[in-house]
Amino acid sequence: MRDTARRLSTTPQAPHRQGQTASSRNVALLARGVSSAAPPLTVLILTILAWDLYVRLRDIKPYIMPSPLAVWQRWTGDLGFFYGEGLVTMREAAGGLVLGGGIAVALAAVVAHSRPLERGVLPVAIAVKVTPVVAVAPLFTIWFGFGMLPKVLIAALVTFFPLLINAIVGFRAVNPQALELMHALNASGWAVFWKLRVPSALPYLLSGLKVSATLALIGAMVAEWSGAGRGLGRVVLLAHSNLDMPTLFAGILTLATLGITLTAVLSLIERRLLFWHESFRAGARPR
Amino acid sequence: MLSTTIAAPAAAQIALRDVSHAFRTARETRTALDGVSLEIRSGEFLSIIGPSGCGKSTLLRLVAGLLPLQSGSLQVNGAVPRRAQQAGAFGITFQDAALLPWRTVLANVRLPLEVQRRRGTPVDPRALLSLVGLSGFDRYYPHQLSGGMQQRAALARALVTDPPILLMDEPFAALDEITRTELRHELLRITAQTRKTVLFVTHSLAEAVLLSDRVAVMSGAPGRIRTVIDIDLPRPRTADNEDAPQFLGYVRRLRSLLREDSDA
Repeated sequence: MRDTARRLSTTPQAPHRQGQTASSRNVALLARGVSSAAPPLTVLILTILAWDLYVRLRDIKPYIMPSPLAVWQRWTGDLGFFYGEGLVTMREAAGGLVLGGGIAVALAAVVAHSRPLERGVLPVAIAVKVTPVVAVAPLFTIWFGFGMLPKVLIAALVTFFPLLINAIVGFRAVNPQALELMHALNASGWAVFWKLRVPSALPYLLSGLKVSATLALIGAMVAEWSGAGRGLGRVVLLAHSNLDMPTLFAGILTLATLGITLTAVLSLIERRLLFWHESFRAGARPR
Repeated sequence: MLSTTIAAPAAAQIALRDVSHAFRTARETRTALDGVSLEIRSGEFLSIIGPSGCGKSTLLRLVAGLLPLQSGSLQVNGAVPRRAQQAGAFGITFQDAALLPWRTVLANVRLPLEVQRRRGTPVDPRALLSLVGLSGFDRYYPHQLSGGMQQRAALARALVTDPPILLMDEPFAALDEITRTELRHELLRITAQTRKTVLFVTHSLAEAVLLSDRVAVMSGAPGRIRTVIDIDLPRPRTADNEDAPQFLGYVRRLRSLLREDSDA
Protein backbone atom coordinates (compact mmCIF):
# COMPACT_ATOMS: atom_id res chain seq x y z
CA MET A 1 0.00 0.00 0.00
CA ARG A 2 2.55 2.54 1.13
CA ASP A 3 4.77 1.47 -1.69
CA THR A 4 2.04 2.11 -4.25
CA ALA A 5 1.33 5.52 -2.81
CA ARG A 6 4.96 6.46 -3.07
CA ARG A 7 5.13 5.31 -6.63
CA LEU A 8 2.11 7.43 -7.45
CA SER A 9 3.30 10.47 -5.62
CA THR A 10 6.84 10.74 -6.92
CA THR A 11 8.01 10.54 -10.46
CA PRO A 12 10.29 7.54 -10.78
CA GLN A 13 13.14 9.39 -12.47
CA ALA A 14 14.25 10.98 -9.26
CA PRO A 15 15.14 8.34 -6.69
CA HIS A 16 17.48 10.81 -5.01
CA ARG A 17 14.44 12.86 -4.07
CA GLN A 18 12.63 10.02 -2.36
CA GLY A 19 14.67 10.54 0.75
CA GLN A 20 13.15 13.94 1.36
CA THR A 21 10.18 14.38 3.62
CA ALA A 22 6.87 15.42 2.14
CA SER A 23 6.96 18.89 3.69
CA SER A 24 10.47 19.74 2.53
CA ARG A 25 9.46 18.59 -0.92
CA ASN A 26 6.43 20.87 -0.82
CA VAL A 27 8.57 23.81 0.19
CA ALA A 28 10.96 23.04 -2.65
CA LEU A 29 8.06 22.79 -5.09
CA LEU A 30 6.64 26.08 -3.84
CA ALA A 31 9.99 27.81 -4.21
CA ARG A 32 10.35 26.45 -7.72
CA GLY A 33 6.81 27.62 -8.51
CA VAL A 34 7.48 31.14 -7.29
CA SER A 35 10.75 31.45 -9.15
CA SER A 36 9.21 30.20 -12.38
CA ALA A 37 6.16 32.46 -12.01
CA ALA A 38 8.13 35.62 -11.28
CA PRO A 39 9.24 36.59 -14.82
CA PRO A 40 5.81 36.27 -16.50
CA LEU A 41 4.15 38.05 -13.58
CA THR A 42 6.59 40.94 -13.86
CA VAL A 43 5.90 41.33 -17.56
CA LEU A 44 2.16 41.16 -16.92
CA ILE A 45 2.24 43.82 -14.19
CA LEU A 46 4.39 46.15 -16.29
CA THR A 47 2.04 45.79 -19.25
CA ILE A 48 -1.00 46.58 -17.11
CA LEU A 49 0.76 49.61 -15.60
CA ALA A 50 1.69 50.94 -19.05
CA TRP A 51 -1.88 50.41 -20.23
CA ASP A 52 -3.34 52.19 -17.23
CA LEU A 53 -0.91 55.08 -17.54
CA TYR A 54 -1.66 55.50 -21.22
CA VAL A 55 -5.44 55.55 -20.73
CA ARG A 56 -5.18 58.04 -17.86
CA LEU A 57 -2.66 60.42 -19.38
CA ARG A 58 -4.20 60.57 -22.83
CA ASP A 59 -7.71 60.59 -21.37
CA ILE A 60 -8.92 57.82 -23.68
CA LYS A 61 -12.69 57.38 -23.75
CA PRO A 62 -13.95 54.13 -22.13
CA TYR A 63 -15.77 53.10 -25.34
CA ILE A 64 -12.45 53.22 -27.20
CA MET A 65 -10.21 51.68 -24.58
CA PRO A 66 -11.27 50.92 -21.01
CA SER A 67 -8.88 51.19 -18.08
CA PRO A 68 -7.55 47.94 -16.60
CA LEU A 69 -9.50 48.69 -13.43
CA ALA A 70 -12.79 48.98 -15.33
CA VAL A 71 -12.12 45.63 -17.00
CA TRP A 72 -11.19 44.06 -13.70
CA GLN A 73 -14.34 45.35 -12.01
CA ARG A 74 -16.53 44.14 -14.84
CA TRP A 75 -14.84 40.75 -14.81
CA THR A 76 -14.78 40.09 -11.08
CA GLY A 77 -18.24 41.57 -10.67
CA ASP A 78 -19.72 38.94 -12.94
CA LEU A 79 -17.34 35.98 -12.86
CA GLY A 80 -20.18 33.47 -12.84
CA PHE A 81 -21.55 34.85 -16.07
CA PHE A 82 -18.18 34.92 -17.85
CA TYR A 83 -17.23 31.40 -16.80
CA GLY A 84 -20.70 30.10 -17.62
CA GLU A 85 -20.24 31.35 -21.16
CA GLY A 86 -16.60 30.29 -21.12
CA LEU A 87 -17.63 26.77 -20.25
CA VAL A 88 -19.85 26.66 -23.33
CA THR A 89 -16.95 27.69 -25.55
CA MET A 90 -14.63 25.30 -23.73
CA ARG A 91 -17.01 22.42 -24.35
CA GLU A 92 -17.15 23.22 -28.04
CA ALA A 93 -13.37 23.44 -28.19
CA ALA A 94 -12.94 20.15 -26.33
CA GLY A 95 -15.39 18.44 -28.65
CA GLY A 96 -13.47 19.77 -31.63
CA LEU A 97 -10.18 18.70 -30.14
CA VAL A 98 -11.39 15.14 -29.62
CA LEU A 99 -12.96 14.95 -33.07
CA GLY A 100 -10.22 16.69 -35.06
CA GLY A 101 -7.41 15.18 -33.03
CA GLY A 102 -8.91 11.71 -33.21
CA ILE A 103 -9.20 11.83 -36.99
CA ALA A 104 -5.72 13.35 -37.32
CA VAL A 105 -4.03 10.69 -35.19
CA ALA A 106 -5.91 7.82 -36.84
CA LEU A 107 -5.04 9.16 -40.27
CA ALA A 108 -1.41 9.69 -39.25
CA ALA A 109 -1.15 6.10 -38.00
CA VAL A 110 -2.00 4.94 -41.52
CA VAL A 111 -0.10 7.62 -43.44
CA ALA A 112 3.09 7.16 -41.40
CA HIS A 113 3.55 3.76 -43.03
CA SER A 114 3.52 4.98 -46.60
CA ARG A 115 5.25 7.89 -48.31
CA PRO A 116 2.95 7.85 -51.37
CA LEU A 117 -0.09 8.01 -49.09
CA GLU A 118 1.51 10.90 -47.23
CA ARG A 119 2.06 12.74 -50.49
CA GLY A 120 -1.59 12.18 -51.35
CA VAL A 121 -3.00 13.32 -48.02
CA LEU A 122 -0.77 16.29 -47.21
CA PRO A 123 -2.00 18.68 -49.95
CA VAL A 124 -5.57 18.16 -48.79
CA ALA A 125 -4.51 18.72 -45.19
CA ILE A 126 -2.69 21.90 -46.14
CA ALA A 127 -5.72 23.10 -48.07
CA VAL A 128 -7.79 22.59 -44.92
CA LYS A 129 -5.18 24.45 -42.91
CA VAL A 130 -5.03 27.54 -45.14
CA THR A 131 -8.81 27.87 -45.43
CA PRO A 132 -9.69 30.85 -43.20
CA VAL A 133 -11.99 29.80 -40.39
CA VAL A 134 -13.84 33.10 -40.67
CA ALA A 135 -14.83 32.16 -44.20
CA VAL A 136 -16.05 28.69 -43.34
CA ALA A 137 -17.84 29.51 -40.10
CA PRO A 138 -20.88 31.27 -41.67
CA LEU A 139 -21.21 28.39 -44.10
CA PHE A 140 -21.25 25.87 -41.28
CA THR A 141 -23.88 27.93 -39.51
CA ILE A 142 -26.08 27.77 -42.60
CA TRP A 143 -25.54 24.03 -42.89
CA PHE A 144 -25.66 22.98 -39.26
CA GLY A 145 -27.62 25.71 -37.48
CA PHE A 146 -26.92 27.78 -34.39
CA GLY A 147 -26.21 24.95 -31.99
CA MET A 148 -23.02 23.37 -30.79
CA LEU A 149 -22.24 21.29 -33.86
CA PRO A 150 -20.86 23.94 -36.24
CA LYS A 151 -18.56 25.23 -33.48
CA VAL A 152 -17.26 21.76 -32.75
CA LEU A 153 -16.61 21.25 -36.44
CA ILE A 154 -14.71 24.52 -36.76
CA ALA A 155 -12.62 23.68 -33.69
CA ALA A 156 -11.95 20.25 -35.20
CA LEU A 157 -10.88 21.88 -38.44
CA VAL A 158 -8.23 24.06 -36.80
CA THR A 159 -6.88 21.29 -34.54
CA PHE A 160 -6.60 18.80 -37.35
CA PHE A 161 -3.45 19.99 -39.09
CA PRO A 162 -0.95 20.50 -36.26
CA LEU A 163 -1.90 17.16 -34.77
CA LEU A 164 -1.70 15.37 -38.11
CA ILE A 165 1.81 16.65 -38.81
CA ASN A 166 3.05 15.95 -35.30
CA ALA A 167 1.52 12.49 -35.27
CA ILE A 168 3.07 11.54 -38.62
CA VAL A 169 6.50 12.67 -37.47
CA GLY A 170 5.93 10.99 -34.10
CA PHE A 171 4.90 7.60 -35.46
CA ARG A 172 8.09 7.62 -37.52
CA ALA A 173 10.37 8.74 -34.70
CA VAL A 174 11.19 5.19 -33.76
CA ASN A 175 14.61 3.93 -32.75
CA PRO A 176 15.58 1.92 -35.88
CA GLN A 177 17.36 -0.74 -33.84
CA ALA A 178 14.36 -1.18 -31.56
CA LEU A 179 12.32 -1.70 -34.73
CA GLU A 180 14.81 -4.29 -35.99
CA LEU A 181 14.65 -6.01 -32.63
CA MET A 182 10.85 -6.23 -32.91
CA HIS A 183 11.16 -7.69 -36.40
CA ALA A 184 13.81 -10.19 -35.32
CA LEU A 185 11.37 -11.29 -32.62
CA ASN A 186 8.72 -11.73 -35.29
CA ALA A 187 6.46 -9.21 -33.54
CA SER A 188 3.10 -8.48 -35.15
CA GLY A 189 2.41 -5.11 -36.76
CA TRP A 190 -0.10 -4.53 -34.00
CA ALA A 191 2.52 -5.11 -31.29
CA VAL A 192 5.02 -2.87 -33.07
CA PHE A 193 2.39 -0.13 -33.25
CA TRP A 194 1.22 -0.24 -29.64
CA LYS A 195 4.44 -1.14 -27.88
CA LEU A 196 6.85 0.90 -29.97
CA ARG A 197 5.27 3.48 -32.28
CA VAL A 198 2.64 4.90 -29.95
CA PRO A 199 4.96 5.51 -26.98
CA SER A 200 7.61 6.91 -29.33
CA ALA A 201 5.03 9.29 -30.79
CA LEU A 202 3.72 10.41 -27.42
CA PRO A 203 6.06 13.43 -27.01
CA TYR A 204 5.04 14.66 -30.47
CA LEU A 205 1.34 14.02 -29.86
CA LEU A 206 1.36 15.93 -26.59
CA SER A 207 3.20 18.93 -27.96
CA GLY A 208 0.79 18.94 -30.91
CA LEU A 209 -2.08 18.77 -28.47
CA LYS A 210 -0.79 21.81 -26.59
CA VAL A 211 -0.72 23.85 -29.78
CA SER A 212 -4.09 22.55 -30.90
CA ALA A 213 -5.88 23.11 -27.60
CA THR A 214 -5.52 26.88 -27.72
CA LEU A 215 -6.29 26.92 -31.43
CA ALA A 216 -9.48 25.00 -30.72
CA LEU A 217 -10.58 27.63 -28.21
CA ILE A 218 -10.03 30.42 -30.70
CA GLY A 219 -11.73 28.38 -33.41
CA ALA A 220 -14.81 27.81 -31.27
CA MET A 221 -14.97 31.49 -30.37
CA VAL A 222 -14.70 32.63 -33.96
CA ALA A 223 -17.37 30.13 -34.94
CA GLU A 224 -19.69 31.72 -32.41
CA TRP A 225 -19.38 35.06 -34.19
CA SER A 226 -21.39 33.81 -37.11
CA GLY A 227 -24.35 32.98 -34.97
CA ALA A 228 -24.66 31.44 -31.53
CA GLY A 229 -27.04 31.47 -28.60
CA ARG A 230 -24.29 31.27 -26.03
CA GLY A 231 -20.54 31.30 -25.55
CA LEU A 232 -17.67 33.72 -25.12
CA GLY A 233 -17.61 34.59 -28.80
CA ARG A 234 -21.17 35.80 -28.59
CA VAL A 235 -20.40 37.80 -25.43
CA VAL A 236 -17.51 39.52 -27.19
CA LEU A 237 -19.52 40.16 -30.35
CA LEU A 238 -22.47 41.64 -28.44
CA ALA A 239 -20.20 43.81 -26.33
CA HIS A 240 -18.55 45.04 -29.47
CA SER A 241 -21.80 46.14 -31.09
CA ASN A 242 -22.83 47.86 -27.84
CA LEU A 243 -19.42 49.56 -27.53
CA ASP A 244 -19.26 47.92 -24.10
CA MET A 245 -15.47 47.66 -24.01
CA PRO A 246 -15.06 46.49 -20.40
CA THR A 247 -17.24 43.45 -21.19
CA LEU A 248 -15.35 42.79 -24.40
CA PHE A 249 -12.04 42.87 -22.60
CA ALA A 250 -13.37 40.78 -19.73
CA GLY A 251 -14.48 38.22 -22.29
CA ILE A 252 -11.00 38.11 -23.77
CA LEU A 253 -9.56 37.85 -20.27
CA THR A 254 -11.78 34.84 -19.62
CA LEU A 255 -10.62 33.21 -22.82
CA ALA A 256 -7.00 33.87 -21.88
CA THR A 257 -7.36 32.27 -18.45
CA LEU A 258 -9.06 29.26 -20.00
CA GLY A 259 -6.27 28.93 -22.54
CA ILE A 260 -3.55 29.22 -19.92
CA THR A 261 -5.27 26.71 -17.65
CA LEU A 262 -5.66 24.26 -20.50
CA THR A 263 -2.02 24.59 -21.49
CA ALA A 264 -0.90 24.20 -17.89
CA VAL A 265 -2.97 21.05 -17.42
CA LEU A 266 -1.59 19.58 -20.63
CA SER A 267 1.97 20.44 -19.56
CA LEU A 268 1.37 18.68 -16.30
CA ILE A 269 0.06 15.59 -18.06
CA GLU A 270 3.03 15.79 -20.41
CA ARG A 271 5.48 15.85 -17.53
CA ARG A 272 3.76 12.89 -15.89
CA LEU A 273 3.60 10.75 -19.00
CA LEU A 274 6.98 11.66 -20.45
CA PHE A 275 9.15 11.36 -17.35
CA TRP A 276 11.43 9.16 -19.46
CA HIS A 277 11.92 11.66 -22.25
CA GLU A 278 15.13 13.75 -22.55
CA SER A 279 13.29 17.03 -22.15
CA PHE A 280 11.71 16.15 -18.81
CA ARG A 281 13.97 13.84 -16.90
CA ALA A 282 16.33 14.86 -14.19
CA GLY A 283 19.99 14.19 -14.84
CA ALA A 284 20.11 11.77 -11.93
CA ARG A 285 22.06 8.62 -12.54
CA PRO A 286 22.70 6.13 -9.78
CA ARG A 287 26.33 5.20 -9.11
CA MET B 1 10.01 -28.98 -34.04
CA LEU B 2 10.55 -27.19 -37.27
CA SER B 3 14.29 -27.28 -36.90
CA THR B 4 14.77 -30.94 -36.14
CA THR B 5 12.70 -32.32 -39.02
CA ILE B 6 14.63 -30.70 -41.84
CA ALA B 7 18.11 -30.32 -40.38
CA ALA B 8 20.85 -32.34 -41.99
CA PRO B 9 22.68 -34.61 -39.52
CA ALA B 10 25.42 -32.84 -37.55
CA ALA B 11 25.23 -29.97 -39.99
CA ALA B 12 26.05 -26.38 -39.33
CA GLN B 13 23.39 -24.46 -37.47
CA ILE B 14 23.83 -21.47 -39.75
CA ALA B 15 24.99 -22.09 -43.29
CA LEU B 16 25.63 -19.44 -45.91
CA ARG B 17 26.49 -20.55 -49.42
CA ASP B 18 27.59 -18.05 -52.03
CA VAL B 19 25.52 -15.26 -50.52
CA SER B 20 25.68 -11.89 -52.27
CA HIS B 21 23.86 -8.74 -51.36
CA ALA B 22 23.63 -5.33 -53.00
CA PHE B 23 21.98 -2.12 -51.94
CA ARG B 24 20.39 -0.29 -54.81
CA THR B 25 19.63 3.39 -54.74
CA ALA B 26 18.36 5.48 -57.62
CA ARG B 27 21.89 6.52 -58.47
CA GLU B 28 24.08 3.51 -57.79
CA THR B 29 24.29 -0.09 -56.78
CA ARG B 30 26.65 -0.91 -53.95
CA THR B 31 27.69 -4.50 -53.45
CA ALA B 32 27.84 -5.18 -49.72
CA LEU B 33 28.49 -8.90 -49.85
CA ASP B 34 30.02 -10.86 -52.70
CA GLY B 35 29.84 -14.64 -52.70
CA VAL B 36 30.09 -15.26 -48.99
CA SER B 37 30.12 -18.84 -47.75
CA LEU B 38 30.32 -19.56 -44.06
CA GLU B 39 29.18 -22.21 -41.63
CA ILE B 40 28.53 -21.71 -37.98
CA ARG B 41 28.27 -24.80 -35.87
CA SER B 42 25.90 -25.37 -33.03
CA GLY B 43 27.27 -24.04 -29.74
CA GLU B 44 30.09 -22.23 -31.48
CA PHE B 45 31.19 -18.66 -30.86
CA LEU B 46 32.10 -17.13 -34.21
CA SER B 47 33.30 -13.56 -34.61
CA ILE B 48 33.37 -11.57 -37.79
CA ILE B 49 35.96 -8.84 -38.06
CA GLY B 50 36.76 -6.55 -40.92
CA PRO B 51 37.06 -2.93 -41.94
CA SER B 52 34.10 -0.57 -41.65
CA GLY B 53 31.56 -1.07 -44.38
CA CYS B 54 32.76 -4.56 -45.30
CA GLY B 55 29.26 -5.96 -44.92
CA LYS B 56 29.58 -7.51 -41.45
CA SER B 57 26.30 -6.03 -40.29
CA THR B 58 24.62 -6.89 -43.57
CA LEU B 59 25.63 -10.50 -43.06
CA LEU B 60 24.20 -10.51 -39.55
CA ARG B 61 20.94 -8.93 -40.73
CA LEU B 62 20.59 -11.51 -43.49
CA VAL B 63 21.01 -14.30 -40.96
CA ALA B 64 18.43 -12.67 -38.68
CA GLY B 65 15.94 -12.44 -41.54
CA LEU B 66 15.90 -8.64 -41.32
CA LEU B 67 17.02 -8.32 -44.94
CA PRO B 68 15.66 -10.40 -47.81
CA LEU B 69 18.08 -12.86 -49.35
CA GLN B 70 19.01 -11.74 -52.86
CA SER B 71 21.24 -14.54 -54.06
CA GLY B 72 22.88 -17.66 -52.75
CA SER B 73 21.45 -19.86 -50.04
CA LEU B 74 21.16 -19.21 -46.34
CA GLN B 75 19.81 -21.69 -43.84
CA VAL B 76 19.29 -21.44 -40.13
CA ASN B 77 18.48 -24.72 -38.43
CA GLY B 78 17.84 -26.09 -41.89
CA ALA B 79 15.22 -23.51 -42.78
CA VAL B 80 15.11 -20.02 -44.24
CA PRO B 81 15.84 -17.20 -41.77
CA ARG B 82 12.20 -16.04 -41.67
CA ARG B 83 11.13 -19.48 -40.49
CA ALA B 84 13.87 -19.54 -37.88
CA GLN B 85 12.72 -16.11 -36.78
CA GLN B 86 9.16 -17.37 -36.37
CA ALA B 87 10.44 -20.30 -34.39
CA GLY B 88 12.15 -17.86 -32.02
CA ALA B 89 15.67 -18.84 -32.97
CA PHE B 90 17.26 -15.45 -32.40
CA GLY B 91 18.28 -13.23 -29.58
CA ILE B 92 19.77 -10.03 -30.91
CA THR B 93 21.75 -7.07 -29.59
CA PHE B 94 23.10 -3.98 -31.31
CA GLN B 95 25.66 -1.26 -30.75
CA ASP B 96 22.80 0.85 -29.45
CA ALA B 97 21.25 -1.02 -26.52
CA ALA B 98 17.89 0.17 -27.93
CA LEU B 99 16.07 -0.21 -24.63
CA LEU B 100 12.63 1.37 -24.63
CA PRO B 101 13.04 4.46 -22.43
CA TRP B 102 9.47 4.36 -21.05
CA ARG B 103 9.90 0.84 -19.70
CA THR B 104 11.76 -0.19 -16.59
CA VAL B 105 14.75 -2.46 -16.98
CA LEU B 106 12.64 -5.46 -16.01
CA ALA B 107 9.86 -4.53 -18.43
CA ASN B 108 12.44 -4.12 -21.17
CA VAL B 109 13.81 -7.58 -20.51
CA ARG B 110 10.24 -8.93 -20.61
CA LEU B 111 9.44 -7.26 -23.94
CA PRO B 112 10.35 -10.26 -26.15
CA LEU B 113 8.04 -12.47 -24.08
CA GLU B 114 5.19 -10.05 -24.76
CA VAL B 115 5.68 -9.73 -28.50
CA GLN B 116 6.93 -13.12 -29.57
CA ARG B 117 4.09 -15.24 -30.87
CA ARG B 118 5.47 -18.54 -29.82
CA ARG B 119 4.94 -20.78 -26.90
CA GLY B 120 8.13 -21.80 -25.24
CA THR B 121 9.88 -21.96 -21.96
CA PRO B 122 10.97 -18.44 -21.13
CA VAL B 123 13.74 -17.74 -18.71
CA ASP B 124 12.85 -15.89 -15.52
CA PRO B 125 13.67 -12.24 -16.29
CA ARG B 126 14.85 -11.59 -12.75
CA ALA B 127 17.22 -14.51 -12.87
CA LEU B 128 18.59 -13.11 -16.12
CA LEU B 129 19.08 -9.70 -14.57
CA SER B 130 21.21 -11.26 -11.90
CA LEU B 131 23.06 -13.30 -14.52
CA VAL B 132 24.09 -10.10 -16.30
CA GLY B 133 24.92 -8.39 -13.00
CA LEU B 134 21.90 -6.13 -12.79
CA SER B 135 20.03 -7.58 -9.84
CA GLY B 136 18.43 -4.80 -7.85
CA PHE B 137 18.06 -2.59 -10.91
CA ASP B 138 14.81 -4.09 -12.19
CA ARG B 139 12.76 -0.98 -11.42
CA TYR B 140 15.25 1.50 -12.85
CA TYR B 141 14.66 3.23 -16.14
CA PRO B 142 17.21 2.98 -18.96
CA HIS B 143 18.27 6.62 -18.66
CA GLN B 144 19.30 5.95 -15.08
CA LEU B 145 21.80 3.33 -16.23
CA SER B 146 25.30 3.77 -17.62
CA GLY B 147 26.06 2.65 -21.17
CA GLY B 148 27.59 -0.60 -19.95
CA MET B 149 24.59 -1.38 -17.76
CA GLN B 150 22.29 -0.70 -20.67
CA GLN B 151 24.19 -3.24 -22.74
CA ARG B 152 23.89 -5.74 -19.91
CA ALA B 153 20.13 -5.20 -19.91
CA ALA B 154 20.06 -5.61 -23.70
CA LEU B 155 21.88 -8.91 -23.32
CA ALA B 156 19.37 -10.09 -20.72
CA ARG B 157 16.58 -9.12 -23.12
CA ALA B 158 18.22 -11.14 -25.90
CA LEU B 159 18.39 -14.21 -23.64
CA VAL B 160 14.89 -14.09 -22.16
CA THR B 161 13.21 -16.25 -24.80
CA ASP B 162 16.05 -18.78 -24.46
CA PRO B 163 16.92 -18.63 -28.17
CA PRO B 164 19.49 -21.12 -29.52
CA ILE B 165 21.28 -18.38 -31.46
CA LEU B 166 22.63 -15.06 -30.25
CA LEU B 167 23.35 -12.40 -32.86
CA MET B 168 25.46 -9.51 -31.62
CA ASP B 169 26.28 -6.51 -33.78
CA GLU B 170 29.21 -4.63 -32.20
CA PRO B 171 27.47 -4.60 -28.83
CA PHE B 172 30.40 -3.00 -26.99
CA ALA B 173 31.59 -0.58 -29.67
CA ALA B 174 30.10 2.51 -28.04
CA LEU B 175 31.56 1.79 -24.60
CA ASP B 176 34.74 3.02 -22.99
CA GLU B 177 37.70 0.66 -22.87
CA ILE B 178 37.38 -0.25 -19.21
CA THR B 179 33.67 -1.07 -19.41
CA ARG B 180 34.32 -2.88 -22.65
CA THR B 181 36.91 -5.18 -21.12
CA GLU B 182 34.63 -5.85 -18.18
CA LEU B 183 31.69 -6.75 -20.41
CA ARG B 184 33.84 -8.97 -22.61
CA HIS B 185 34.59 -11.19 -19.65
CA GLU B 186 30.99 -11.10 -18.56
CA LEU B 187 29.95 -12.30 -22.00
CA LEU B 188 32.59 -15.01 -21.85
CA ARG B 189 31.15 -16.22 -18.56
CA ILE B 190 27.54 -15.98 -19.72
CA THR B 191 28.01 -17.76 -23.03
CA ALA B 192 29.94 -20.51 -21.27
CA GLN B 193 26.97 -20.87 -18.93
CA THR B 194 24.17 -20.69 -21.49
CA ARG B 195 25.80 -22.64 -24.33
CA LYS B 196 24.46 -20.50 -27.16
CA THR B 197 25.55 -20.35 -30.74
CA VAL B 198 26.92 -16.84 -31.08
CA LEU B 199 27.51 -14.76 -34.20
CA PHE B 200 29.46 -11.76 -33.04
CA VAL B 201 30.39 -8.73 -35.14
CA THR B 202 33.26 -6.64 -33.84
CA HIS B 203 36.01 -4.19 -34.73
CA SER B 204 38.23 -5.27 -31.90
CA LEU B 205 40.85 -7.94 -32.55
CA ALA B 206 41.47 -8.71 -28.89
CA GLU B 207 37.75 -9.05 -28.34
CA ALA B 208 37.45 -11.50 -31.23
CA VAL B 209 40.36 -13.61 -30.02
CA LEU B 210 39.25 -13.68 -26.41
CA LEU B 211 35.67 -14.67 -27.10
CA SER B 212 35.73 -16.81 -30.21
CA ASP B 213 36.15 -20.40 -31.23
CA ARG B 214 36.69 -19.15 -34.75
CA VAL B 215 37.17 -15.75 -36.32
CA ALA B 216 36.06 -14.93 -39.85
CA VAL B 217 38.16 -12.15 -41.38
CA MET B 218 36.37 -10.11 -43.99
CA SER B 219 37.76 -7.80 -46.62
CA GLY B 220 35.80 -4.78 -47.68
CA ALA B 221 34.14 -3.35 -50.76
CA PRO B 222 32.78 -5.72 -51.88
CA GLY B 223 32.57 -7.78 -48.69
CA ARG B 224 34.18 -11.19 -48.92
CA ILE B 225 35.31 -13.71 -46.35
CA ARG B 226 39.07 -13.67 -46.60
CA THR B 227 39.80 -16.47 -44.22
CA VAL B 228 38.48 -18.17 -41.12
CA ILE B 229 40.96 -18.97 -38.39
CA ASP B 230 40.54 -21.27 -35.41
CA ILE B 231 41.33 -19.78 -32.03
CA ASP B 232 42.90 -22.71 -30.30
CA LEU B 233 43.04 -21.33 -26.79
CA PRO B 234 41.87 -23.35 -23.80
CA ARG B 235 38.63 -22.46 -22.02
CA PRO B 236 37.69 -21.06 -19.58
CA ARG B 237 39.61 -18.01 -20.71
CA THR B 238 40.48 -15.34 -18.21
CA ALA B 239 42.08 -11.92 -18.18
CA ASP B 240 45.49 -13.60 -17.80
CA ASN B 241 45.05 -15.21 -21.19
CA GLU B 242 45.16 -11.82 -22.83
CA ASP B 243 48.84 -11.43 -22.03
CA ALA B 244 49.83 -14.95 -23.08
CA PRO B 245 52.13 -15.11 -26.11
CA GLN B 246 49.71 -17.46 -27.84
CA PHE B 247 46.88 -14.94 -27.45
CA LEU B 248 49.01 -12.08 -28.70
CA GLY B 249 50.09 -14.28 -31.60
CA TYR B 250 46.49 -14.61 -32.73
CA VAL B 251 45.92 -10.87 -32.42
CA ARG B 252 49.05 -10.20 -34.48
CA ARG B 253 47.97 -12.68 -37.12
CA LEU B 254 44.53 -11.11 -37.42
CA ARG B 255 46.08 -7.66 -37.61
CA SER B 256 48.40 -8.64 -40.43
CA LEU B 257 45.50 -10.27 -42.30
CA LEU B 258 43.53 -7.05 -42.05
CA ARG B 259 46.55 -4.97 -43.05
CA GLU B 260 47.22 -7.04 -46.15
CA ASP B 261 43.68 -6.29 -47.11
CA SER B 262 44.02 -2.55 -46.79
CA ASP B 263 47.34 -2.61 -48.68
CA ALA B 264 45.87 -4.54 -51.58
